[in-house]
Amino acid sequence: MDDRNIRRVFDQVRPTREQEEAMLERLLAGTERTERKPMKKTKKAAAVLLAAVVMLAACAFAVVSGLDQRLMDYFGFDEGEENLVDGSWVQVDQSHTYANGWTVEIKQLLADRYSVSVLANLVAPEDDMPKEGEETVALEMDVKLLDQQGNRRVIQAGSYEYAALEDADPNDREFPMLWGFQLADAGVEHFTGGSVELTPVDLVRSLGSRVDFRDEPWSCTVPLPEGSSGLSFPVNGTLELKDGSVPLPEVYLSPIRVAFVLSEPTRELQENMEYLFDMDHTKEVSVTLSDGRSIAMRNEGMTMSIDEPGDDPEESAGLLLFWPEEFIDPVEVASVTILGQTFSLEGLTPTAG
Amino acid sequence: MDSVRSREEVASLYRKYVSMVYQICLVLMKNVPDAEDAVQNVFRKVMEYGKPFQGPDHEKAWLVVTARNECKNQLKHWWRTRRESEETLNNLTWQQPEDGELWELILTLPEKHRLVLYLHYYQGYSSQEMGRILGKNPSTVRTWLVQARQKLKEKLEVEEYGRP
Repeated sequence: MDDRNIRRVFDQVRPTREQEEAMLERLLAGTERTERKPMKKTKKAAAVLLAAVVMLAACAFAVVSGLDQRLMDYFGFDEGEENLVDGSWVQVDQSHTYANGWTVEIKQLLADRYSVSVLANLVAPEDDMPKEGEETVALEMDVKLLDQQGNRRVIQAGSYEYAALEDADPNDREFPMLWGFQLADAGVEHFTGGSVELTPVDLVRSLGSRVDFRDEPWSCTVPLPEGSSGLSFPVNGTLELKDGSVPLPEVYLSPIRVAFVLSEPTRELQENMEYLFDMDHTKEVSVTLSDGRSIAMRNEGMTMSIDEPGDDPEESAGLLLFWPEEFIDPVEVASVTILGQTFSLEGLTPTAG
Repeated sequence: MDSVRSREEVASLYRKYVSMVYQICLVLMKNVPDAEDAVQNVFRKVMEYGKPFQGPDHEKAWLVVTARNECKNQLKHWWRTRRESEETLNNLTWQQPEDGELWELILTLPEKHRLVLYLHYYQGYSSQEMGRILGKNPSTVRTWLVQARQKLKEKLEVEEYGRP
């Protein structure tokens, strides 16, 4: 190996012309306030811009006096099963019509310790109707977490989720969707108590132009449910990794999330980051119910946060967060498995929250 | 986001430096989607940076530091999503470099070693210059370079002959 080999390999990873143009287009599109420019449709743009799969959840629209049927269908609750999230959702019903004619309606919000899911309804102006059945629209929102005194609590990182929900009336101008956010931050900030401030930023349209809301800021502050449908289990175990092991003090389960909370950031944890990320979590993470049934994790909806040793120990930790294939009843979970290691929850006294 | 620079100015800086910024981000982030995201953020910071650059050396060094900081920031609170299917991820436009084996070995080196290898061997920065840009003592940077070369050599020997 000589210097030329090193130079050559770096030269081989230059961006392609197509890549450069796509990134520039995306960059400059972010500066446009009024000009509408069609987005280039590339696989890359879909992967990076949306950072989420826009899913179409099959459901039948029905108004109920509880958790909206569309949220129930999205999470797979049959009638009566939504009781699992009693006390962890709020009716919002706030809306704003922008000067460009679009209306954003925030209908309901469902939260657990690490995630919020918002049912939103987008109403298009008559002269800017997306092509029904052909085009998807995704609402992008900024989220701020506020404590009970209204002070902003910093969210270091998280990931967004957008899902188009089936439209009961394809001929109207309404587009129901789910907007979600889940923490990828092992710190102390949780979505229980306090409130969230949601600010629509723009609409990303799969076939058309981006609709920018930033010139007309409107925020919707939603008190978070005091209670949580989640349970925290003090497993106080040790998770064996490729190089060394790390303490696993807590496993958190809500009906829609499974979290492994690693409260002590260690050098071993830092050095195993890639090992953890490279695991096939759809196969290597599961929960087992008391009836023996095993539930795997979905391919999507996984986030991971690992802080560096030396960060504030009170606020630093690691968090491995997964989304089960089907909703779970936390009290029915007998054990959790990760990387071939099973942690029994039987006999443990969980705490709510 | 408010841009204090004109579109033309941003586009001009972008065209001039996108390769370098992308390569730094790829070297540090180790995958294309994260590198592309980091590139976007770096050039957004260019848009927001209100002060004039004092010349080509300054703007280039500023971009090196901003790219490095952006990647470090992302890696510090390391999070990823797997919302895309494997198929979609596999379809992302990424071609393994011809010297894929060497590239993979470079990616196994610590971050500081990868960065100085790139800045020295590809961008032609001296230890003195890298020390100034990265805020490190030039002798420290020189040590990193030697260590990086040494580790790469050892890894290549293991790959080729099965022993260091």
